[in-house]
Amino acid sequence: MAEPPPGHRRDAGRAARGGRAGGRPALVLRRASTQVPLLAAVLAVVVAGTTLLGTCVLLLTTAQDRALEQAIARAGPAEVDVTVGLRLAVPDAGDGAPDASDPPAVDAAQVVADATALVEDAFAPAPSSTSVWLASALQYLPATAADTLRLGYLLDAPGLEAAATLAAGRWPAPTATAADREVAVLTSTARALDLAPGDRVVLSPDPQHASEQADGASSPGSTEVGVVVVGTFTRAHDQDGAQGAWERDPLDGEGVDTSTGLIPAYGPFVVAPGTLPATEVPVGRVSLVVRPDLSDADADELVAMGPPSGSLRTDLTRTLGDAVSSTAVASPYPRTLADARTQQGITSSGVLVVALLGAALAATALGLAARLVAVRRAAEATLLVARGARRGQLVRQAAAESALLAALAAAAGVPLSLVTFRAVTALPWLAGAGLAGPASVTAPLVVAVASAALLLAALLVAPSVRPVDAGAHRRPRRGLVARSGTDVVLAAVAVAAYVQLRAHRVATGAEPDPVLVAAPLLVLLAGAVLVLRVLPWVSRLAEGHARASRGLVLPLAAWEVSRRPHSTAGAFLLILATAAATFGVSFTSTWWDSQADQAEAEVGTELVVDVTGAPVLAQGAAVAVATGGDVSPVTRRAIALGSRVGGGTEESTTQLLAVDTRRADALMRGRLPEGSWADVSAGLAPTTGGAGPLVPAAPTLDVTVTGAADDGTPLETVPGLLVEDAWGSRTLVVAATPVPLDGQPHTVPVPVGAVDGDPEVRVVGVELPLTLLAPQDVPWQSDITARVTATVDVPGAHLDAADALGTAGGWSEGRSPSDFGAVRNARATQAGSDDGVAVTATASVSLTTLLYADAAIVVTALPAAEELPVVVTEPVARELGLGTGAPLSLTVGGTTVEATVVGVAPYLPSVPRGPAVLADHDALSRALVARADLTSMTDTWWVAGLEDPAAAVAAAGDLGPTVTRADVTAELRDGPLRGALRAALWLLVVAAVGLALAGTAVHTATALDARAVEVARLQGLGVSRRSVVASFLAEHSAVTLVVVAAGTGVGAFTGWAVGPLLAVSATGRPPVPAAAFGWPWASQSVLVLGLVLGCAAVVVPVALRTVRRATVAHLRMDAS
Amino acid sequence: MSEPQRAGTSPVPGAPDGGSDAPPVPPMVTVRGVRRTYGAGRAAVHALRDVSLDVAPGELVALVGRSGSGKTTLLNIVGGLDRPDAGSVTVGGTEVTSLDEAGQVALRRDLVAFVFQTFGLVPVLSAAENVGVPLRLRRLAPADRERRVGLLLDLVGLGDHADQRPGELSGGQQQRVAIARALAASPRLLIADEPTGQLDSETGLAVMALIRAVVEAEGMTAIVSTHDPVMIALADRAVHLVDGQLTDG
Repeated sequence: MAEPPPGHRRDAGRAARGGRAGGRPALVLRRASTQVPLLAAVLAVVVAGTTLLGTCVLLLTTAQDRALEQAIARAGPAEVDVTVGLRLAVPDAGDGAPDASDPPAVDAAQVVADATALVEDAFAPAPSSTSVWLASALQYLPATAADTLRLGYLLDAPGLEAAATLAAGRWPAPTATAADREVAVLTSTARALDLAPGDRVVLSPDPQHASEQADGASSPGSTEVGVVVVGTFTRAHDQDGAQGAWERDPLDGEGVDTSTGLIPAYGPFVVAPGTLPATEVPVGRVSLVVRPDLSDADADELVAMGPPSGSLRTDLTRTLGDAVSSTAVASPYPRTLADARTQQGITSSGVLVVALLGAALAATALGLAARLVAVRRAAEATLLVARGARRGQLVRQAAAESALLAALAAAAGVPLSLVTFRAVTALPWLAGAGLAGPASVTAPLVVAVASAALLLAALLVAPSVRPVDAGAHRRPRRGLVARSGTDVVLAAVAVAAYVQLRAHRVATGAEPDPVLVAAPLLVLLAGAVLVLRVLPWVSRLAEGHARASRGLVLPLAAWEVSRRPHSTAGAFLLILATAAATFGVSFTSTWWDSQADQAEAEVGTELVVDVTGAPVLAQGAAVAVATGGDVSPVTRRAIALGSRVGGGTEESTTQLLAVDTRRADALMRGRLPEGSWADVSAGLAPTTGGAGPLVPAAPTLDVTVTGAADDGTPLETVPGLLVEDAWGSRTLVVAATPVPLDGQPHTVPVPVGAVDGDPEVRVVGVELPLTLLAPQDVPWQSDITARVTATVDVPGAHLDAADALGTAGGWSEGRSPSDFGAVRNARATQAGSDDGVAVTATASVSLTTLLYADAAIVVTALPAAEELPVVVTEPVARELGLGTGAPLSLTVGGTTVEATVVGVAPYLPSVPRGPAVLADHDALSRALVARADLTSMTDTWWVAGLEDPAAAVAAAGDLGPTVTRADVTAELRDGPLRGALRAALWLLVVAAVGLALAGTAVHTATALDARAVEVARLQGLGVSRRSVVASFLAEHSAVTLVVVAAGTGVGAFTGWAVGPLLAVSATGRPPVPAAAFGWPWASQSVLVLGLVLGCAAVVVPVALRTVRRATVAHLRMDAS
Repeated sequence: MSEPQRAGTSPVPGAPDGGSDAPPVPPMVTVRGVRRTYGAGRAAVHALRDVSLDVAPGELVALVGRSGSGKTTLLNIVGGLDRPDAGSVTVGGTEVTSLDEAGQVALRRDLVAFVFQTFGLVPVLSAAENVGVPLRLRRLAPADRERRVGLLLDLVGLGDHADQRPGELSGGQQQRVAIARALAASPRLLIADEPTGQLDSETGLAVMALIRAVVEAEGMTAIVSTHDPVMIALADRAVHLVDGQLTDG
């Protein structure tokens, strides 16, 4: 029988002296006492594995719960508030006279209380606050002179001041008597009804009565109500839900509804808060906004609360019964929760990938350790068997030892997991997301750690079941075939997982996605296994070269590498660990960059400012001054493409994006597969510059209009100027009062809205809507046409050089396709003088058509192209079969513009998904003006070139809602629901490096220890210690370098193939733009260098110790 | 000083007792008053006690003794693998006990070769590669090395087993590989520590005959420890070691 090495023999002897073989704790403990370093290393690996898994469990449970709580707590009102609209069973004016079939009177207070309780209960136990707006049933306003019926309503809206800006007068206050009720009205209502503070209005359910009471006197005992206007107001800008607030108004805050076929409605007449129920006017509509305070709700409560709109509506209908005639519910919370849980699921998938990779690494390290332990104990096992021990006894003995290790590891793993979790969540980005803090011991944590410890420790039993032949130097062919078969199967499964991942377009729901989880693990494992099979060829190649060498050191190292049995186990661990670590670093980079790319695509530029509450012409200067950046007006709205209207959602409706494409590279953000946005948008901008009189910026411009019809028909107009600011934003500013076209000059103020001192603005168009002052004098039976000429004198204006020289192209007609041909052949000229510039427009006007159609003379100084060049996104091109040169009809608002496709882009900035069309802002505006549509195309402002983005955002925040690329990027990267993934990836890297070094240490120590006899023999042959150490180091350096390189290759391949597919968007869909493989050279170099140096730090002392310990005593021992 | 030491001072075999005109041939190995103790105090084991011995060039000496008698310790000290606590050893005119580690390495590389009871082959190397190790230490050109390895393997009758690893060879074959390796660098002294200890008697006899043959063929000196009478008979003479002391046998 071969004689074992001294350590083995000593252990075996001690074990044998322990008494009868098998199962005795004393024997286990005595043996353990002789192998403390080895068992301590094994225990450390088990503890490391269980701690990693325990930490991942906490990241999957505690951290995710906190993330959900934080995400919901940070959600805005629009994502949480429940809005309930109830129409009470009360007839509006105009619904007909009351009769016996009308429902009985409704107790509005009771309806409000019941509805409020029902909605608030849905969020119990979280406290809620409820805002109630009450609108009266529609009442008749005093009829006009033409006996036109008009409707109005009262509105009781607490907190309205936050959604409105007082324009004149004051807000209404409660009054002592019903006769003096105070109201405030929107400026649009006031303008339409010619109301001003101090005016009195009567609202009545009786149209005749209202007409009779037009003088304002209400009769005692009637149900009509008289109100006094004490103030006028405008809607506030769209901040803090102000826009949403106006959706609760029956007229959406428009103030006027003159829809065809309906009685015109005006309102609201806003009464003092809480006073509507006290009036004689019945409450017709109730609008509830329930805002739950979810800041203290825990994750379980959050998941349980907030029923979807459908069920809440059903409950309300059932509870309120006949008191309401219709119920509408908007409950965004379930969607918000579902979105958050989807992100949770995606993050959980990533964390689970890390957990599985960590488990695989720990299992590999334990498998290696188990094998080394078995080799170390082979002699003991042989001796015990020789003394009559059965294999089962040895297995039981190993199991007892494993159970002890598992218990120790579990006992250590739980607190270490808690400590690690606390350390991980203290990382800045997780702490910033609100995830920091200690975790408590939970059942999932204990179960996971204990299970992991047991399973990992169970690996130590395996060699006892299937004993290790420590002396085997060449593997049996059957084993090789079996391993090859396993490799092929694993590779096939990995390929299948990869194919599945490629085809996987949307991550599944709130739970971890199995495809996202399995694919990287399988690809990494398969890659490591396959590379491991290639390494022997490499080593044999090296051996061939080494054989030709004269010396001994390198050939000996090469021989050891290529022929030493069991070195593949250590190599596999190092390959897998390196691959996992490099994959972790690579995927972190891929994911990280993808979030930035997605944020760029979503925002479209550096900073988006939606300026509200300020005239359009004051906005550009305000944004420019506040941000100090490169400012550009942008059109961003839904349009129809031909007959394609879309499905109502933003992603199914075609979105129009119009920006200043001359500055595309500066303004537009979003990574493209190739080229730049300037390339994409080339050819969209007009080639000709602007023209028209330049005017100093001012709040108001007094223009003088002189005009008349050649046949003397009395006409009037409300002159409008299309004014362009220095940033290219155009808006139509209209005179406050109409002007008669009677041949006399009439000066009228035009509220331009610009600010004194701002850069000059340019008048690029004039609109003269025509109204017949005596329509009864125009015969409708025949087409009467008159030549109308009007001159608009713009004081203080001047022409720039091109205009003055007459090279700017002159003025042209803006022809409306919807005026039924009322205005034809419009022409205009401009003439500059010291006092200003006069624009004279003339056109043939069909006076007959004016009887039934709105018409205006529109002339513009903007040269218009025949067709608008546009770029469409791939979804549009695919769906409509469009290619370059294809014609396209865009319906923008109510105007249809003919366009030509000049290019196809994968997506557009700010429109990452769905159909979209890109146009140049100037070209789009010109195209619309050419069709007499002078609507402002400035929906938002894009700002680029910011020197201090944070300061710019802070300053722009006063102007209106802002969205910044940086904020969206930060939210996508470090938001509460996202940060755990990055933490888990870094944990994977650390764990992989740690396990790699621990495995290398255990493997090297054991392997070199087993070679002490060989070292002694070499020294006996005359090989110096230095040469032996050099051979060891050469051997391990070569192995480490090759294996780490191979692992890096596997990690890089997995990162390249799988990483971009794993970097799904926050909604679980493929990101836009597609994620690009990230390979941060600096981090990867540090990682690889660290692994190599770490392995060297482990191997060098072990090699020195081994050589030092090799004595002549080893010469009498058997090398096996 | 105990009596058995005188046995070690026996003249070189073959040399006249006296009266010859030829100058005396210096011994290949001279051992004088070597002592070696393992451990200390009451646990001390006196492996060698004042051992003195001369071995003439070309002589094959059988070192006979039971297990634990100190044979391996003496061989290790002669071969520079161990150091005595007292006494001196000279091999081929080189004072071994005064050599530093580099000198000992050089001694084993150039002057002395070992054959171990456990064969001492490097398990991951083939027979030819094992034999080539001493030649690589001397940085022999690959072609010369291959030629010499082939010759030696043919010499020990294993020319057809050059590519087999020790685990694939029988015990006798492994020992023959060990002998071939020992001869590879043409040492002047061959030290064999129970070379037949793990072999059956027939194989052991063949190995011993091989050693006898190559010693004569290569003109080298050999010290072979054994307790097999057959092996002892093949030696020029036998010296007996009992409890760390040389005796007359």
